[in-house]
Amino acid sequence: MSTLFTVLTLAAGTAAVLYVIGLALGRFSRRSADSEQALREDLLDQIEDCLPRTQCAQCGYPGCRPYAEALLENRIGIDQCPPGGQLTISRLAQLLGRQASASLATEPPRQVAVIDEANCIGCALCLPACPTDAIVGAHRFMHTVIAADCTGCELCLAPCPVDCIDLVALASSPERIGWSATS
Amino acid sequence: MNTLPRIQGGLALKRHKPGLNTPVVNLSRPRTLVFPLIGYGGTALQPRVRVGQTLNCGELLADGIAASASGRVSAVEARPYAHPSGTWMPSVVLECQPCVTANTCESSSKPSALNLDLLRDAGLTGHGGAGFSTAAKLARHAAPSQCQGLIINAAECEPGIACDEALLMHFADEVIAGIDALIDWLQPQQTLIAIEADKHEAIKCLHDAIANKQYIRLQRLQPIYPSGAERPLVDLLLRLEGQPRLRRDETPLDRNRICLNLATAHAAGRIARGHAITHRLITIYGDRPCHARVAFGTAIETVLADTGNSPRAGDRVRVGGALSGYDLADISAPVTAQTNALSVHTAPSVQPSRPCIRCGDCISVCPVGLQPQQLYAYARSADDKGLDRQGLDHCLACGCCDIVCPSEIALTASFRHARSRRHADRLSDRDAQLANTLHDRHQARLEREQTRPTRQTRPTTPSEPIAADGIAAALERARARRKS
Repeated sequence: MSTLFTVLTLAAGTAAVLYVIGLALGRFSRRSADSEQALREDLLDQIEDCLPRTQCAQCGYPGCRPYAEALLENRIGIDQCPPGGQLTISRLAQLLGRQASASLATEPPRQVAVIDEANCIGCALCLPACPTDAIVGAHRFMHTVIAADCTGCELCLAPCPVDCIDLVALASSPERIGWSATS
Repeated sequence: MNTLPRIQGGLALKRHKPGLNTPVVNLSRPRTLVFPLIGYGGTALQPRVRVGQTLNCGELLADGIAASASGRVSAVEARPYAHPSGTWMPSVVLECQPCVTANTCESSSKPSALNLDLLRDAGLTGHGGAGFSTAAKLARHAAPSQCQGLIINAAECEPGIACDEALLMHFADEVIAGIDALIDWLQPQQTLIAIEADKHEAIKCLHDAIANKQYIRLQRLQPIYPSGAERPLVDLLLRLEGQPRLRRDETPLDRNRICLNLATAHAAGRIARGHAITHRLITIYGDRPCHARVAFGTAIETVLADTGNSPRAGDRVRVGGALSGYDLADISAPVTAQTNALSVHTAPSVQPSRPCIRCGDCISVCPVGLQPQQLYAYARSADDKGLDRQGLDHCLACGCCDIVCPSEIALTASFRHARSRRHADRLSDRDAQLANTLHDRHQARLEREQTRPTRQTRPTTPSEPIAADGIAAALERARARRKS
């Protein structure tokens, strides 16, 4: 009888301890659901930091954040971003531990959009297309591109009904030449 | 000589100081002077002058660049620039009266005590080769009498550069006058001139010039390259005083030491006496080695031709010393305040490099205590974290590791390339950050406009009614453009 009593007490005690542990673990896993979301956001931020943020959609996704999500879920290769060039590919390779399946043939030059004011008809269709709001203007007013804010994404070219937007390569400035001879 | 103090690392190179046995050649000033609008570290400078403006000698063309003659600005445009890339740079072109005896500037003001404004207005930059703004360097200096030590850097360690030695041999009194002017202003607790012990003539001239001045001390050093580099030199002098060494994150000013090149101190003296800084001594090594006094803005090919050192077909012209210099693509590039030596030589043969054998010789000669072996591996794999850990930014690019490497690896070139690449990457990051901020604002605006409808704008009343054929004409123009 006493043996049975001892066994039952031990069993109940173990069950109680396991129940308490289970409660504690349950608390922990509820918190980790939130932190999992935060971890995902953090990883997406790290991936996005490797991208040039031109929001040009040349990768096939409507912006840099969707491309970052696709990279995180391994749906797409790391070599799909032309404006990022070799820098983006090598950073993504180091961050994600993946190889590029193709290397870029040439690095695209830095370029900005320029509106030919003689041909601009003031239709304002290019304004909403710009992801950085770099085009200044309004309906029936002259439009112009703020060169410093333009990323050269080419999204304004398609909406223009009179084709008055050109992409102009930026001249290399002294700060981009490299090798300060006394460094 | 082996008992004299020496920097850590470095190499004892054979003494090669050409052009010291001939008198200084005063070159005539040409009609056209060109001033590249490039500052310290390759930053672009904004011109302060317009085309057509007339200037007096000594007036500033941009921050740190003074006109070396009176004249008229004939253009502000891209011109050849002395740089390894051979790229043309925006420059101010000054037309002036050619002058055969261009020893002194036409205009001068009355002498005055040195101060920051005076140095800024004179556009004084370092004459050692890097060209940091002297006013900016001294602006960080706390206050007069807080300066523990004024160090005049006369080491000039690199083979092929002897302009500071020539300055001492011919103009020692002027140099000391410049140092005195600096001492009057900065009131350092001690002043010393650091010089390599094998410059016997120059040391003799210095001794004579400071004979009665007990407050200026001469510190002779073992002739080791690169003793003239600021950081190894200041580290050595701190060690000699029993002070803790110069840490990597410290500058000499953090230890209340001011280190100036000898020629910069000489120029400061001329500014105190009311002169503008228009010329400098340059070592010329070719058929007729000599030292020439050259006006800033003179084309390098003119300097070589006027001193009888014109290059022949197949020759290369090098700017700077044997190790830290580079060959010029276009010798019509102008002389600047940072041009210290020119040499004409035949194109060297390049030896193919072999794999690294991990001998460690490069580590023992590095004057900054880096590990070139490791830096090379990280540079080749573009591993930025590794490069930071190994201290790539502290590399002086002195070239000592190249000399000792038994596999003849172009170590310094790979470090320079890595630094250029990282610099370009940082600029790309800056652009990406800006685009990111703009895009975030764009998204925020769209969200705002969803919750709150945009205000209706008043319909504009055009000055004349827009005819239907006006729109048709615009579309026609567009179609014609699309076809062309």
